[in-house]
Amino acid sequence: MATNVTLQFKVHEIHNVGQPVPHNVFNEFDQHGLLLNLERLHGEGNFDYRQRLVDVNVRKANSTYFGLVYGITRELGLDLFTAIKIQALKTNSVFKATNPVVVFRGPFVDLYSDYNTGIIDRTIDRWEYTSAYTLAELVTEINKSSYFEAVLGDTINPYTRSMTILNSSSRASFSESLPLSTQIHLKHKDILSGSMEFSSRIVFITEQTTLNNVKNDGDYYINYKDGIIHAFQTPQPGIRVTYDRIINPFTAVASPVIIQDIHSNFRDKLFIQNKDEFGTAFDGKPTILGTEIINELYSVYPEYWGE
Amino acid sequence: MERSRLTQEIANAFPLESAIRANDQSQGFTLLNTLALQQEEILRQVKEIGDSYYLTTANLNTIGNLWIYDLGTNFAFADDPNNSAFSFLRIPTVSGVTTSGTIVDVDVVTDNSLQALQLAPPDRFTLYLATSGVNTLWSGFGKDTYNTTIESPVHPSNLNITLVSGENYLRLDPGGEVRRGRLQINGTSFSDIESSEAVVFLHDDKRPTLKLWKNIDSIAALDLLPDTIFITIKDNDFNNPPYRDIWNWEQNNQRELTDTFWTLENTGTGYTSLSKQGYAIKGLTDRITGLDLTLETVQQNALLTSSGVALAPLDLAFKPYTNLVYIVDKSTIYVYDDKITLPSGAKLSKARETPNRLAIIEASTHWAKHGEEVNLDLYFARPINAIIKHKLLIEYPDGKASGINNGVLYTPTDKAVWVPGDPVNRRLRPTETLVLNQFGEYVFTLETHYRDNTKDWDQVIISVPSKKPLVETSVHQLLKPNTTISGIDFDTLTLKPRLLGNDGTRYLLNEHKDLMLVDFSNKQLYFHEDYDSVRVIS
Repeated sequence: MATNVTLQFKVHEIHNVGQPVPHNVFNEFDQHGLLLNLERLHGEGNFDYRQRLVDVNVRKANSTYFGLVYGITRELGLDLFTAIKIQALKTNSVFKATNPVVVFRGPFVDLYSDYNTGIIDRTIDRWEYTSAYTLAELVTEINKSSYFEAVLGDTINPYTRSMTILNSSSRASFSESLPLSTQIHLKHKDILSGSMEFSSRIVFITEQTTLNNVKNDGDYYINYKDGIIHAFQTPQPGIRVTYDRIINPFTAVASPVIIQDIHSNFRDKLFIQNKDEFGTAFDGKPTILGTEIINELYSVYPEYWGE
Repeated sequence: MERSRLTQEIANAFPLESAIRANDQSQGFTLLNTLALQQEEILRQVKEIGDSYYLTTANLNTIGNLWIYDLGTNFAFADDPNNSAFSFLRIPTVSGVTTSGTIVDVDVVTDNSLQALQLAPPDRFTLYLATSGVNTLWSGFGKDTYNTTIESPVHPSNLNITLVSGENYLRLDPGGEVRRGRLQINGTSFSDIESSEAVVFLHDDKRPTLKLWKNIDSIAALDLLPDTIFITIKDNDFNNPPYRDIWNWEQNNQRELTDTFWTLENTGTGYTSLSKQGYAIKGLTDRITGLDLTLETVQQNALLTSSGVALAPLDLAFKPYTNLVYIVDKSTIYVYDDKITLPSGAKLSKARETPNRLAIIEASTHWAKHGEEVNLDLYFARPINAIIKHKLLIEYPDGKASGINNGVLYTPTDKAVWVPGDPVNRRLRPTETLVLNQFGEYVFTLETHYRDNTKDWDQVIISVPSKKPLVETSVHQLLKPNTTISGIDFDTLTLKPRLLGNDGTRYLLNEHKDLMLVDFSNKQLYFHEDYDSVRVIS
């Protein structure tokens, strides 16, 4: 049995010395894999395989951005991870900025000081070597903002590329039905001002700026910080409200799989941007990176570029 | 011999007065036991297959990977005339170098079968992950469950919920509707889906959730009255007895289902026992008013180390889908089987010679704790002959023997062991008592001589059961310096054993089996472990 032994043998009696190779044994997890169209990787254990099988129904694979990232990450046996945590700063428990939202879009990270009016405090380029290329550099860049503070996720390698963070936003939409009450506590706090929509406006006609002004039929006041609606009248049954909220702190999820859409934000990385007489940007000559990618595409697909 | 959990249920098809049902030392019971053991194995597999329908309940310890080593076409297995089990071929001597550089020898698994490999106990442990975590996620009264903050598990886990109030939680409300007490958990399950689960309680109990919970947002006590119910929610099962039997299939000889539990119990003579206990349940009424039920001890097995000395255990945990129980003391993991014993029928051969015996032994018990005093009553059960003399002989577990008369021990051949004459009533002599100080089976033989020159024998076995570990492994070197083990359970996410250190650290362990399968025709070895290299000596 498994006692440590001192090997005593004669050299001529050794028949074989070598390294065994992994061999998958088909079991019930592989049966689930057949149903879910996800094969066990070579040498993959039950636990890791089960995690991937469960993930099939949660992070579905399809041809959208997220579908591709999720699908490729899973098929390769890689993991999503929490790259950084971003906190919108507060003073006396009130946000320093009016509507602080962070948006990861392609190669850029936008730090909004007021999302509603589109005022951006900083835009960080996470593609260029000279900017926020790694997660550590991205954290440093974010911390230059006076409205946000970022820290690296637990046990994250600071030299991981910041492009691993998925396109995402600290703004999230919610919908819920209203109870029959004049004081309505929503499920979430930190509501984005101006984002609220009601399915019926009968008792929500005029939004007041203070609670004291709610005096007449149709008046209402929203406490955005605490997620409370004060209405003058009780709403009818079945009314729903949709709103956006600021997720704070925001955890930015990342995948080792980086997918970029060359038709949108990424375009200026591939083509020098010129402007026509109306100020509208159009693609000029390819950049060095663009040339490399075009050559690679050209080598894969035997077609003429640009025709 | 191992006693099956199902033998009594099968024997209960016979009338209550029949020996096959009432006496577990009868030939009939022993015969049914061999069949019941097979049925138990089938039911174990049926449960495992049933659980494998769902990813969250499928057995993660099912073998999914092996490591193949090709011996090469030129390899020839040597002849071994003594090895009939493997076609008279010699199993090669194999050593493996582990990833940490240790050399271990690798044995072929029993029967050379995949199933035996899966069920085999581990040979050694390595550290997979050390974390810290709170022992109790939340505890408080039912009325406090709203608007409360609850810790989430360190990693996804089934939660163990314990309710204590002394009341039952099944009632009729004034509207005539039946209300069952439920504790509802809302949060995120291990697959990142927002979810909820209601755990139903009929009485005070410890129940696990079916789902693995990653984050807990809120809990709510629903129809749980009164307000004084004390609720405890844990993401572990450290030091949290009693432990319900994994299978819980048993009946007593009254055809009552028995809710079976295991616990560690000090037996008073320096030994601690693995104790199997049960509450006989007649039906739902008993279950919900369960507080009045009496606890019957099925058997207590004194725990010994592999060197035969008493163990000072701290906690136990059952490995899911196996019959293995892991017990820890301060520095070592001991793996035992959870089998309880049936006396060996071969030792009752003398009694089998005279099935129509007239005089019998009635023992106060068929098993006893170490150092326990047992009583033996001798009766003239069928007084249709006249007795000349009788004697009661004792065969000890260590093979020695003696006779007993009126509490005094003699050598078996001493004339003083004989009691002459016909009894006045059915009792042959006053009750004999004996203190049992050895582990093993004591065989008591009553030999009776009659006036018509016939004689008969009756025999009873009283066993003093004990267990030695299948595996005993010190894991002291895996713990932080100057800390000891204080508990063990099985992590429900990974189904790996997990230790609790006395400083609160949790150690998740990898189990390793240095075992292999041999494919004689294709000349390949299949290893359970991923060795850096193996050495094969033919």
